[in-house]
Amino acid sequence: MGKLKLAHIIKGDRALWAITIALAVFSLLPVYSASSTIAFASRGGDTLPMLLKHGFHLIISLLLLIGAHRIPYKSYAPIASLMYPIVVVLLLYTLVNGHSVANASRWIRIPGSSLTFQTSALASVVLMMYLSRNLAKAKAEVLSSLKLSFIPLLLPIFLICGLILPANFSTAALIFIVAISLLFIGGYAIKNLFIICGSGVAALALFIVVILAIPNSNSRVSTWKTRIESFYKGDVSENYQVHKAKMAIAEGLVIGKGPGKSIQKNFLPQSDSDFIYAVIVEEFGGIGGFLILLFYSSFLVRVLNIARKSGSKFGMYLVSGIGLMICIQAFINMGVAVNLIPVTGQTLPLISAGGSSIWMTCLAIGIMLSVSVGLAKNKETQPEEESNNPETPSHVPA
Amino acid sequence: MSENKSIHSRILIAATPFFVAALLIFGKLIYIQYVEGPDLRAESQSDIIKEKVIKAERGNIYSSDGKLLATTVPVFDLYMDPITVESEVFNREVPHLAKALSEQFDHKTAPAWESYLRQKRSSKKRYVKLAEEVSFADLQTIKSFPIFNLGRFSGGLIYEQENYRTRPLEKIGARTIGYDNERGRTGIEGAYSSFLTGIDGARLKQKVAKEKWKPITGSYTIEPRNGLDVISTIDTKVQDVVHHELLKALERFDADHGCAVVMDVKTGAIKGIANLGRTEEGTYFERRNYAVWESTEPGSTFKLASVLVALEDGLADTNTLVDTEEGIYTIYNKKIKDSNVKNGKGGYGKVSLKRAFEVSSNVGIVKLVYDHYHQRPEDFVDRLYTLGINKPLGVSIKGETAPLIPKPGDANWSGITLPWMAFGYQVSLTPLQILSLYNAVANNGIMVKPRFVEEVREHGRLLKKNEVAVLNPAICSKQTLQKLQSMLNGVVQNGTATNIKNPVVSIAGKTGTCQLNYWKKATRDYQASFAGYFPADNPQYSCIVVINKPNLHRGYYGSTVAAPVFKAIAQNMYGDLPKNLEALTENNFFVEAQQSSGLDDAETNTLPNLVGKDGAEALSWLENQGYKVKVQGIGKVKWQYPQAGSNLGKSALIELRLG
Repeated sequence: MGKLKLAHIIKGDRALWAITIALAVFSLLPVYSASSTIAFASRGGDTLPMLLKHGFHLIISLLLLIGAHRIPYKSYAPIASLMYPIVVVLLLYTLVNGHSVANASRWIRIPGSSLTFQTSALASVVLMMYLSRNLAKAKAEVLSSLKLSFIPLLLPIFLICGLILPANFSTAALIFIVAISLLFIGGYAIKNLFIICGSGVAALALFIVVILAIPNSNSRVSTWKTRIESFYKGDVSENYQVHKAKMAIAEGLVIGKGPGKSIQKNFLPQSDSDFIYAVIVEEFGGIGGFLILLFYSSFLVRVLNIARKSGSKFGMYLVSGIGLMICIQAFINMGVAVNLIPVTGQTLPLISAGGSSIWMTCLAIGIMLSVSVGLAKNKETQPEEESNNPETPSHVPA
Repeated sequence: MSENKSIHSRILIAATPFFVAALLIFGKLIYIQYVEGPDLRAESQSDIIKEKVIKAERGNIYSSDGKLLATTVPVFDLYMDPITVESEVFNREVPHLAKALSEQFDHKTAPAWESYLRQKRSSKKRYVKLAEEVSFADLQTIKSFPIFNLGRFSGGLIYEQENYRTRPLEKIGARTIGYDNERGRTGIEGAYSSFLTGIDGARLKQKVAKEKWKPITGSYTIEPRNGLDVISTIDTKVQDVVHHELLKALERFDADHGCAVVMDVKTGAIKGIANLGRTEEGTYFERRNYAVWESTEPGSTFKLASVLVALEDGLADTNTLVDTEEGIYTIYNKKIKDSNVKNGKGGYGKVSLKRAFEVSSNVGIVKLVYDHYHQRPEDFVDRLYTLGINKPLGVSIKGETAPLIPKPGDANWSGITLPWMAFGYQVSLTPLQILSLYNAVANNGIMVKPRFVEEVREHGRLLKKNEVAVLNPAICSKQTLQKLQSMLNGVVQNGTATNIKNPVVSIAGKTGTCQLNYWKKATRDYQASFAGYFPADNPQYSCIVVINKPNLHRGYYGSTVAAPVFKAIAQNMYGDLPKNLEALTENNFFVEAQQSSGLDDAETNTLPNLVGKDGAEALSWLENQGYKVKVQGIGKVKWQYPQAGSNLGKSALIELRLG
């Protein structure tokens, strides 16, 4: 009975479902453990509220996931067209009016609640949807021309990244990288991609030079400044976190200290988000660290699999864009924890505490699952069909 | 289809860096664990696991009557982190906090507190000092202040515990109780530091959060051993009397400094010791341990030693006649004068040695010594040395100055050294060293070492008892001793100190008036002293009072400046000893006094008419009522101040003149 019911609710790629659920459940342990410092400091040592909060977010996320994957994936094309301007307005609002954490206006408060919401997370998903829609629609000459592609493809990217950049450089950069990757996947002229990337890098270089040159006019700028400087100079105070993360990893050895036994979590700022991977390794050892890597790698494999099997361009772009977005966050987060790259403040999707991050990840996975559902439907109704008639969002089959 | 294939191959290309990243991340993870691992793990262990010192509690110092003289209490230094308080809360509550703070710490007004906190907050200070050395009880109050009551993290109150050594009796005996800190080790605190300090323990602790450490094991690595308690010889009642009587005299004579010591004759236990020096503001406090440290020429109190030597050598007796002539004696063109010379009628003529001692005739004593010893001064000095007064007493507390008694052959020995030594110049001793000599006379010739500490205890259990330390079992023969005692008695009965003769307690002793820095023409500074013991017939306590540089216009003789302090101390200690007798006189006197003043109310603070009453009765009644009384003369009350019927507080000073 229950199995039958479950099958009605859960559709699409079973493996992706399994990976998602496993990561989400696994997230309870380290988040609960890592949060004990915060709980100890501000709540008299009671960690249960933290666990309940995280559990609450997971349930909301599960609902979003179920909801999103039940919408036929082709509906996401018109949804993207609708959402894109809304997201732009939200980003503008966040920039001007946002709720600051560490001097960055990244959050807006959801009216009538104490929940905050990171707009850039939603924007990244919407941008991938919107780009996928426009790419699938684009004619060959659009893809090979900077001029023709500017309005449908380049402007949406620059607008979103530009609005996110002042408050959250790393997220803007990641979105830019994934968006460029998506253009590449969509067959955008490689030569032009280099020009775009080149100008992007040049713009970034200019940005960095300007930041390093100007006096500390605003504290956000100085935060970037110290981050950039510290990575190259090995500044002791800024590298404190990284060093503690390395200690945590070193302490974990093969099987780790066991759930909740991490010591370094007490000294690691952001032990439940930015550096959660280090805490996982300390508590669950190299095996735990390897498993997490394996889960995300398998996740990527599923992304490739769903994309390959998806008959439509839109489906392929949608799955690969959103999938890469989640993966890049995961690998950047883990890269930071093992000190391969500088501290960026990216969360570990599904595992890090932080409400809107999990919501958006689940929403994104829901969209990917919806593609896989469509794929299954395609197989049932018209296997190995519709090839030289690329559907465009303007005439999506109902 | 082929287009989809090429899309898919491009997706693979885009995904490839991720798989590479996964390998890199795992590689770096292994590298950190196994290459950098050993160092990191060692560092992690040393960072978060430490052997934390568990401070041993310092022992207490008690008086012999069981009162706390020194103890350690926790105090707290308070700071505030105004940044941690939410700005809305801060702005709303800071006036209330400022008001509460101004009530607790009134060196700043409420507006001043408010602007102080606001200014520190706006300049991003996270460690703003509020107060130092706040007691635990006050801390509890402060924690309930607005803002602070939001708790440690939202309220921003930071407190750091310090251990504070406190003396419950405050300034009284402060120098003798001493201290043991970065400034040094003095007094009992310093002398008994090794007992009081204890041994710090250690315990392995693990850091669980910033500034939070939890013990790892159930037991200590090193068990802390709290310091031992030291029971001093000081009796708070005696100490109080000694302190206040000395203080009164210093104030009255506007003296630079002084000391007064009361010692138990048999055991050498110091029952009370006060050392008061004048500040620039003219108030007095325990400045230095003069009794132990300050070595000066003692003057006439040293005549006891001179006479002792002559008597012991059989060269004189108490009735031996000495010719004090006109009070002036010249040796090597240096004049030795008796104190009455300047009054016109100098000297005392031919008198007995006892009389010469009683009136403290310099000429008499010098001639006695000089006549017998000027051919063989070494015999005189050797005899002094056999007393043991040339060696330090070796008291436990720091800073004793060694005595200086020159001998023939010393570089500074000259023809006048011997005669000058005879009346207490050219030698240098501390008050405590002089007192030991007088104590030996009182103690049947047994010289004992002055002691400040009775016992060392751990949780009330006796660990170490200081035995009586005999420095010299017999300073002289029994006969000599009896003669000395009768001469010291005579000083009070018929000599320079008849003013301290009183009906409460018999006193034996010797006055000393010594000119300081007499080689300097411009200065005329004196040191007034009185050393002796009481009761004269059955000595229980010896005592010395030394007062330096009194205001010459107010008096400088040992008899007028120092002796009354001695008497007051003796009377205070003995005034309430014969309980039964006192109870009787008190009742009789009280009834009589009430009747004569026409008052019925026994609880009144009204002073009765005391004129015509017996002086001793009046004195003991008044003192038992809690009044401080100053008495002059002997006999019946002939004058009183304030007058009869005056309404006064118990702390009032009442002056009586008897006659």
